[in-house]
Amino acid sequence: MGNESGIRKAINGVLYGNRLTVMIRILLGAMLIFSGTLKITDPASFGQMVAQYEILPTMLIPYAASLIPALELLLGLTLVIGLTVRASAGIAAILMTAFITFITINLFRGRTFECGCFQSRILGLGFSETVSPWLVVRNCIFLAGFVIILRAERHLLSLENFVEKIRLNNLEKTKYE
Amino acid sequence: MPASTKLISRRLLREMLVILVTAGAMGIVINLVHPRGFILISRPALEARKIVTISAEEARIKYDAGAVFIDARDRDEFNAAHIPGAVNVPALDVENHKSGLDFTFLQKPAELVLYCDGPACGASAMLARAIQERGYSRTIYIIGEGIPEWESRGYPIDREKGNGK
Repeated sequence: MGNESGIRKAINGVLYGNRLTVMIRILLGAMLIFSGTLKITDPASFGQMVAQYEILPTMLIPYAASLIPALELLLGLTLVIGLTVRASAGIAAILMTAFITFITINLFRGRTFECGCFQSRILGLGFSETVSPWLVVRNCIFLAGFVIILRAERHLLSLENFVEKIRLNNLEKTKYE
Repeated sequence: MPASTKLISRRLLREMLVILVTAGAMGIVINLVHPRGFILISRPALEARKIVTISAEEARIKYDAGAVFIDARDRDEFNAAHIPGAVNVPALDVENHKSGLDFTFLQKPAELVLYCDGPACGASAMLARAIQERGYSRTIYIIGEGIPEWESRGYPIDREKGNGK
């Protein structure tokens, strides 16, 4: 019974926002920075990866291939430094849902190809990963992480928390002046 | 959960919009300065680039290289005189969605050269757009001065028997 309440306490702690939430936020942010930077170095091959999914119209591929890496990089940076954390986590969750949908549609079509998740052909860097059910599971884990950050009410070790602390301190000081 | 910290607030949506706009601007700037960036071009501009006007001489070179010639004029005009081997696809019939039009030439790997009576007839341009709408993504060539220029240069013409020419 005591054990059960301990687990519940730990879950509530993560959901409210504790050190584990901070770790999830920084790890996922770093992952987005890594992924976005790799894609920015080689937009052409990322465009080809996007085209392989055969979901977006051809005309939209260059726009998507320009936006997604920049978005990943920006979301990663804001999550790591802790600025507009909930909004960043919200967009990252939507992005992850889109990735999961695109991969699942192609799995149903019976197609397997390089997912283009963490890759830069021009740098010869990245992990070679093919579209598979495991990829869906992994992205669902990432999605859960972003939802936890989105739901959390407190973000320790974040710029917005720091700014809020300064603001509250100043309020206290000026209160009796 | 208190109202101030509800899951989706106006402030959250506003911040999300700011992030999306910033990322969009970042994407465009990165793409502009990137040595391997995309050439971002709108659909109408790209399609306009894929319809190229050429002279009868250039058309002759393509003719000799096995290009498919499409006559965009009416059936009667085509029967009276046309470039040998040309396929007749009247632009007006395509515009009016008439049945029985043969578009099998689109499957051929050869280049497409369209012609009508000249720059003022407009049928070639109309047909070129209709062909693009059917999913043809390669360049379409139009003989700017049409069949009169082709004829004036002494290039081959098939005439209706008994036409007197």
